[in-house]
Amino acid sequence: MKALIQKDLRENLKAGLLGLLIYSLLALAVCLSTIASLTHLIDGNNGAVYSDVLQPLLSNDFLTESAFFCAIFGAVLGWMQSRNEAHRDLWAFLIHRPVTRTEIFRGKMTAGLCLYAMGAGLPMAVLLAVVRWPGHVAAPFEWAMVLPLAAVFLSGVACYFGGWLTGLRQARWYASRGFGLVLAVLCPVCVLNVAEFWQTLALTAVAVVILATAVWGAYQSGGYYRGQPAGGRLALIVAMAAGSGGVVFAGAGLLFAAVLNPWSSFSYSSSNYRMTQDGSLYKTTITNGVVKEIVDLDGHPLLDPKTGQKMEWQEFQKHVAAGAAASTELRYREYQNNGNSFCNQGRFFELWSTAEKALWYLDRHGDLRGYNAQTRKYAGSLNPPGSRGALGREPFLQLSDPGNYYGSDDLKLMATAKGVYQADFKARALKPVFSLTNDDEICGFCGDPGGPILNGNQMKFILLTTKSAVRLLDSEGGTILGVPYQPGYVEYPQVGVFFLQATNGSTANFAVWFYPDAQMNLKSGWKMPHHVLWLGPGQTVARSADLPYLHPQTSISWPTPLLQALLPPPAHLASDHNIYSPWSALCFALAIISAGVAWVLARRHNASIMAGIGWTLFVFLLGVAGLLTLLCAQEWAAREPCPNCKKLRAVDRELCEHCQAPFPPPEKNGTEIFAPL
Amino acid sequence: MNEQSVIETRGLTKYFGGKPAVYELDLEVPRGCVFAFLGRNGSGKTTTIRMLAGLEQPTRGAGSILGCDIRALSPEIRARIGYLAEEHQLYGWMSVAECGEFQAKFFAKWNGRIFRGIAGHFGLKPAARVKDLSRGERAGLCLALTLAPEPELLLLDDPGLGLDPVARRALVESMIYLTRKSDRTIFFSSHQLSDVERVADYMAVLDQSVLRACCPLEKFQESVRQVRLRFSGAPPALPEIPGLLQAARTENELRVTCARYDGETERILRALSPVEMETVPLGLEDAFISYLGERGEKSFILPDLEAQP
Amino acid sequence: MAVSFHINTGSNTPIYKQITDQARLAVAAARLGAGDQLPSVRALAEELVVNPNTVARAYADLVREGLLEARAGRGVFITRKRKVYSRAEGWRRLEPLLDALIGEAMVLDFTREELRKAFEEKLGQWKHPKGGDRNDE
Repeated sequence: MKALIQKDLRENLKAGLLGLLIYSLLALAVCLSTIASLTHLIDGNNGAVYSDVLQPLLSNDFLTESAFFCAIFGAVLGWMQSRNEAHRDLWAFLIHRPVTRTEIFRGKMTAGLCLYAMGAGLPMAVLLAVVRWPGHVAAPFEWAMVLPLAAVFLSGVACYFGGWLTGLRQARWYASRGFGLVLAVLCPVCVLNVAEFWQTLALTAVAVVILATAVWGAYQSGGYYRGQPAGGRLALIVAMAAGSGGVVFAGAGLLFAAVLNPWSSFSYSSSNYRMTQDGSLYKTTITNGVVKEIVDLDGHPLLDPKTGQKMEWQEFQKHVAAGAAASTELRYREYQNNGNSFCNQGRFFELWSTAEKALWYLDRHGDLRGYNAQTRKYAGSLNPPGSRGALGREPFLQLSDPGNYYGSDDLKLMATAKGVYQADFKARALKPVFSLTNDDEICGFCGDPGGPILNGNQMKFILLTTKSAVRLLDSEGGTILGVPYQPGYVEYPQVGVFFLQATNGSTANFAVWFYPDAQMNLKSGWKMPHHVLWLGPGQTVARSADLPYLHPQTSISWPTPLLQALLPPPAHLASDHNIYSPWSALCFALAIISAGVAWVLARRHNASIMAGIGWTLFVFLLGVAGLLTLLCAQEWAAREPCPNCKKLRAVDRELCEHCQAPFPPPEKNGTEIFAPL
Repeated sequence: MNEQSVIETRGLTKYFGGKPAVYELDLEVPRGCVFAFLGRNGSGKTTTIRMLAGLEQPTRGAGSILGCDIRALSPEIRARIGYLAEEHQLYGWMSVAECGEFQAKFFAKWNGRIFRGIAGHFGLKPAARVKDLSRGERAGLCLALTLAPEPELLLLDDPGLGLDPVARRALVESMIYLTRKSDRTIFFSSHQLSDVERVADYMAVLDQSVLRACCPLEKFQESVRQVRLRFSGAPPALPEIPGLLQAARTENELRVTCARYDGETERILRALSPVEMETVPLGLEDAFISYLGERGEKSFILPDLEAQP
Repeated sequence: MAVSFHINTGSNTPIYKQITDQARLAVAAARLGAGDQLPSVRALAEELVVNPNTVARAYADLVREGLLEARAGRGVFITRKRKVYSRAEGWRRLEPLLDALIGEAMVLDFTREELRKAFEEKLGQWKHPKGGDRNDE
């Protein structure tokens, strides 16, 4: 088998080296763009720099390019390995030797995966080494950052087997050879679109096992469906099912899109409450991106006092009160993913400041880390005093919406569970601004809520949520207002504070808004209302109101549910929970018809009862896609009329299924010459 | 299974689509012989050989080769069978020597001297790349690779296809060299009947997927006879002759070619009362052509097919 | 060897018969005499590029005819020709050759006299074949 591995290595080396070259260039490009971004940031030229480029391992562009590359490279390698023996006689040359087919498969697979590891893995490993080496990347590093590239690498392995299967299958319809690729390509797509590594790992592992088994089975039978062991056939069917599903769905979707323009009847409408600077509430409705109406809570449209007509949106915006929001869902425990996927740089750190030729990041452990922009080395952390927990320091809270925090002259405020601090990066110090002394903990924080402009200056406030109350602080840390949490802490985790125009012109008035948790509201059937408090002089509650929750309305145009009806019944039920809707009925009808066709075909071609039931169930579960899979995968023997009973009989059975007559011996025409040898 | 047979098939059938390529083939190949498998293009020879080599799944029927079922050839059996496909396909990027090294690693019984000997016989240089070799040189290389493991049974699918006369002669010489060992069997298909005549002990003929003949070479030649009947006037109509292959009629002659010529046939022909009746001996090639050619009566004078001026 | 065999494929005569015919002709033309050794089966097969079984069959026929004998371990040798054919058999073998000769002469417009004269001349040229003259016995 070593000879086989060597032969395949030698045969496909050029492709492997080409891939290595291309991917190395891509990796080099990402390193160069990182350095360019860094320079860009330090020079202070204001232009947005996406902070994901600062850590090459998490660069969004690079991950997308890597996904494309690994998929294409893997598929091409696999495809080439099968096309190398495409010619019938070369296949015979490969197969006819004293090794089992499984050994041949293993040998080629080893060679192919080695080349893939060289072309895709080697540049990744070098990149990792470069990143890990101090002085190259001025950004935090943790080993979990390697997971996105690892996932991309593994997804390419699935594409490798997909490409290999495509070249191997002997299929009646040439296009059906590519069905395995649909399952394979799903893997890199999944990497970039799921939240957790384990999810994409599971899908990729399943895809690799299925596709590799299908390839193994193809080697047992020369690419045909029949003659494979059961495992190979099962794997092939599953792989084909994914492909059939994709084709049916995509084909139907394209058909609808081409024939009609269905999305024109799609509409999305959302309504929101808005508070104006005088404390009044209005409801705005936007349908398909166009402002439909601005009404007060009784439904009367708001009229512009100047024109007497309905208020225009731009005009309305001028009257809307400024506000800030903070959420108590922010927790500072380690490894919270704050809603970002494992590929997203935002899960790991945020660029906090580029002051003083240094880059300051707040990483997800709550550590404020500085990196020297010139030497690109770690320059130390800023930590608040006191130690807590296993980290030996007090971790900072992450912010839900950091905004444009670098390069601006903002307050540079940060909060821990117990206090608010102002960072002075030049002096490398933290100045305490506010602290909690009791058992209460800060749970949410909005560090730079721009206040209204008073006397030409924008007033600065700090919004804090703790477990017991909502606090608004001034820029020195003095408490302006504190309101207990209501109705409840967990159900209403988001708080907004609005700055209202003071009617008497001196002190600003405030309104506090409590937003219900969306998931809980959904479960309760959207029954939880908004809770609004208006505060009067002395920050006491002047009045309060409960507003019914407004949730967006979408009307789905007809092709979407029609497409959903083409889904396999279980998938359809998962997406459209209503089993009695007409679309569900259509879905089940299609599935039953397809299953019926499958049963008829199976019995006609003499499948055993068990096989017939199996296929019928399979097709029923998968609907139209299942029927397509059956037609593409199964190879049934031809039928010809039986000379005895005149009915059609399968040619692969010794005896006729109707009259049990054997096939007749060849007709003699009198010229036979037979003699003992 | 007969101990003396290396290949046995019973009802071996292969359908492609709805048409049979090989139909109900019953064949027995004795050990130690040179067996020629003949037939026109498309009559099913390659399909049969591929099925015997375990490269094609039969539609129905059974076959065994060296005692092993052809649907499940084990690696040990494969080591004892040499298979040569008609296209002489190899990896183009390998050199002659690399091909030899590659194959040698798989076979315990690899005989490097045979490989080098046959390669040298065909004039192959060890460093030459396969893609630069001519058809004949590639055939020689394939032959060397097939013979070097000293297989007991050789399955050669039209090994002489496309070879120039010198290469073909080298091929036949190699086959004769193989017969030195008495337990070696060669099963081959060919269109070169002169080579078949030289080298084969037995022959079988496939006619449109059906086996029509299986006998020693001389028996075939003896059985297919051409008889020339001269008449004083116009030849009479031809009666029913069992085994009639072709008949040609001229002004006062009738040439009848039939298979299985025996006393009965002679009697029927004599009953036509010819002036003269003469048996024309046929060479193997002519006999074969008559056997598989167009059946029936034809005029000896070909009509002028070109347009009249 | 004093004689070289050659065979044609595609001829009406089977190969083994060509070998036996040539052997007999060689003996008749005195190119092979009693006690001369013929090549071994394998050697002749490889020289003529034919199946050894064919050569073996030719040799077996010759042995059966009495033209050849196999000496164990030493090879095959020409024997003294024994009278194996009956007279009738002999004439049966000769007649087609006579027909061929006379027919060809007629076609070439030779007269009977010319033919007879040529025949006598040829006969005189041929010495008595070694071990082949019935008068010798």
